[in-house]
Amino acid sequence: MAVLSIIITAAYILRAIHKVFWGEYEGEKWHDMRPILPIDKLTLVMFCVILIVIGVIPAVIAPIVEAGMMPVVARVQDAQHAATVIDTVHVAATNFLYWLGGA
Amino acid sequence: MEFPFLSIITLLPIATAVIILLMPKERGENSRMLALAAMVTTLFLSLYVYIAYYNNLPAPGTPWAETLQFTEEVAWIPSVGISYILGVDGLSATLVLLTAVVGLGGVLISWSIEDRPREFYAFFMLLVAGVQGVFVAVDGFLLFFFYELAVLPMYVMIVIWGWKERREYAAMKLTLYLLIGSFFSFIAFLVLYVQLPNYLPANLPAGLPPLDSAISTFDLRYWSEAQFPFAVQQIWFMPLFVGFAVLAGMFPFHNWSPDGHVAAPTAVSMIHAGVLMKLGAYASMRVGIQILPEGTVYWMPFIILLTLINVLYGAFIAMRQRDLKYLIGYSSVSHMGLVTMGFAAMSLYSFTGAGIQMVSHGIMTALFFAVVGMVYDRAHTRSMDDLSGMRQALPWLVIPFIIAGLVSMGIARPFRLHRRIPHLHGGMGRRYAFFGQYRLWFEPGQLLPNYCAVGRLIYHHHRRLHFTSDS
Repeated sequence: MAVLSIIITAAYILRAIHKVFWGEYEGEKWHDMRPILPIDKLTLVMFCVILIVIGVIPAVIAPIVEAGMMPVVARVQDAQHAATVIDTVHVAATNFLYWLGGA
Repeated sequence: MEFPFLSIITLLPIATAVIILLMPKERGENSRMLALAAMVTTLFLSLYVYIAYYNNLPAPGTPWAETLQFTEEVAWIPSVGISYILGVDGLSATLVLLTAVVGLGGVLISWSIEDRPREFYAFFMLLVAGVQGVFVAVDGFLLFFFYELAVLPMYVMIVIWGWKERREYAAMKLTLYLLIGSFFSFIAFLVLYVQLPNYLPANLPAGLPPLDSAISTFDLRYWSEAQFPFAVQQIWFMPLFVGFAVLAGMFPFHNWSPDGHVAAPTAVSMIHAGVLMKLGAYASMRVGIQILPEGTVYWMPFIILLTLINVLYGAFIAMRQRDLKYLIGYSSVSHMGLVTMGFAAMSLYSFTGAGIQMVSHGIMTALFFAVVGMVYDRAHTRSMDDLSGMRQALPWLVIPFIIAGLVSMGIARPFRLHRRIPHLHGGMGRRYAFFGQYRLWFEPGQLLPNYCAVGRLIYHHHRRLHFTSDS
């Protein structure tokens, strides 16, 4: 179900790109705009390169994150036998129904 | 003694902040060079730590205490069991590197700041130090200490350098939310601290001496072995987990986050969305899930429900925003919901997916805020209705914005989601029944608004393109 959020995200991001960067350019309204500084360009390029590297070669982070998660997952998996909140609700609901039937 | 990498990564920004504040006011220009030097040094050290850890990964099945590397240990307040212990595991090594990258980006982005640059950089350094400290802390008390250290500079920076219309409101809201959240976590932590010596297993991992039962300890390596009784876990999991998850923007405590993003100056927005929200997810996992696994299992269905609301509701609100910063603020609430959802699905794939999502979302949102900050600096508006044709004025921003947009849409994400979802729905025995019913009930209902959203989008584009070209 969370996959649906991809569709919504696609919708609002595309709309933002479209509205901000495309469309009519009103030259007189924005004529006094400062240019982008080289240092800003450096930052943008740095982030873009990192994103592309992580996207194309996930192996640069996947194994180390997985190693970090293993002890936590092992602990959670050991606890799988525990009851859940659904059980509590289920018991409460059953008791309530019995009580209704008895009344 | 080994070279203290982690201490330097954490304390160098604090030292820099002190030096910057001691400099005379006329030499405020130099503060940015100092900050840059500190951040570049931190970046190289974190990169070294990351690569060293990557080349020396622990074997699967190693207890957490033994997976830590670059450990440093100094007794601090032994009478109550507080010590200065730093160390990294795989996840924190990655997040330390992420913080270093985003911190460097933040310094570069605010290069041309005019208003009191000296104080700005000093507080920024403190903020970075607080975040790094949480990621490397192995002692619970130290973790809380750095957590508060990360929240307080946020307040000052938003109030002084933020967006004039909303800054005081947003800063106060953010601080209250986060401090109240950590207050609940801290209470839960103290309650468990008192009980800890009774519930430690007899055989501790190698390197941990048996605990003196008269004094408890804040050392999380002991905590990660503790077996608290089920009733205790049931009661205290929620305060412990949710107290930190507030910082990860978990529904229904997400409201501070978009306001904070909007009011903060660009560099602070970048740190805030890029790293600070990960800090919440990290701490709720390290302290909440790792210490109380049975509590996690017990509350998991409820948390999945919250995160589902988080993801979809965040995305729908983002859909309605006209202000670019609010758009990205809500979108990061939605994406952080995916991280918490990865935790709640409780498999190795889902946790790994959550970790990778943390990193990619961190870089992606920082990039988004950098671009939006640049647009706002130049156009003095962030409203999507007022802006148009920016590709001609600011061509350098188009490609980065599109790249960040593609990442947020999940061009790289299906790989992770595909790995995460089957485990969300299956492989957990009796819980499968719950999800089966759940999907039956909700999925058609959820799809409908999506079709509407996409339809509305297409209609909107069509109308806009058509009418503007006609008239």
